[in-house]
Amino acid sequence: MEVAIQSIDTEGNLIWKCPHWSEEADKPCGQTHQHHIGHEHIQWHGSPGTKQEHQTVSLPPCSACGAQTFLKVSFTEKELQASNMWLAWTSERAQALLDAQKAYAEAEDGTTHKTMLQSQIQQLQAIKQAGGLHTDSHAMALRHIELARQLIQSGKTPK
Amino acid sequence: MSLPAVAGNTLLAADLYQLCQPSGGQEKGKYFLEGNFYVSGAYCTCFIPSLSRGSTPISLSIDTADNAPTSHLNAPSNDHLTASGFHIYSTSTAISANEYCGGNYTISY
Repeated sequence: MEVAIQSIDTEGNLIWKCPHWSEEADKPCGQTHQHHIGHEHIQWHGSPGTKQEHQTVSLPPCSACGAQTFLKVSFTEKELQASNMWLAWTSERAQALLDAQKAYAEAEDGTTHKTMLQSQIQQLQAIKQAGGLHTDSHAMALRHIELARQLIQSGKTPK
Repeated sequence: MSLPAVAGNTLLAADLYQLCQPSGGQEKGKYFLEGNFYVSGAYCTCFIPSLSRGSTPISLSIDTADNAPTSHLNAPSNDHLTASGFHIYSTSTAISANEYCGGNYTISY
């Protein structure tokens, strides 16, 4: 998944990958960087009158491609339930569970195939019980929210 | 991206994803900012609508590969990153006419 923040620790250390596509490129830049939230280029951005929830946080310009990445750090509940954030339990997944259970019943005991089917069934049943599944994008959004919290705590407040 | 030009062609998932990006998807495009500035520190801005709607973006990256900021224009910045697009803006460093910058953007979902 080509997204910026790979990790953020409790001390404010960021590891991130540049997600930018230049016009000629056939893949994202992908350059890995490590910065602390105290870096001068990690700042809040917003034109005059912009509310905090609409401001973004910049990362330092990429040393490989020169692009600058701006992170969305405030999300509404509705935004966190968008289709790229939450995969709801659907009839297609219900059918996938039935197919997996049928294949499990027919599989030979003691085989790797049967063990993997059991694992798949357990995962699908957990998703069914939860009503759905959060995606990697949701995890990324939570990291961005944590970044914003640490920035404010460090004294870098929104405009 | 392949567009079905003939009735009976298959519409691919990859085509539909551009209208509602999945987790891990990215939208790429161009922007261009230009303005005349009556005072130092004035803003020129533009809202870029995204093709994708309904999916929540998590980041935006921009470069100035097409046109580096002219002599009295700061590097572009961004706010209002939403499912509908983003707002890009810059400020002048002097009273000036015809300042501009432009390049590529990548929205990550």
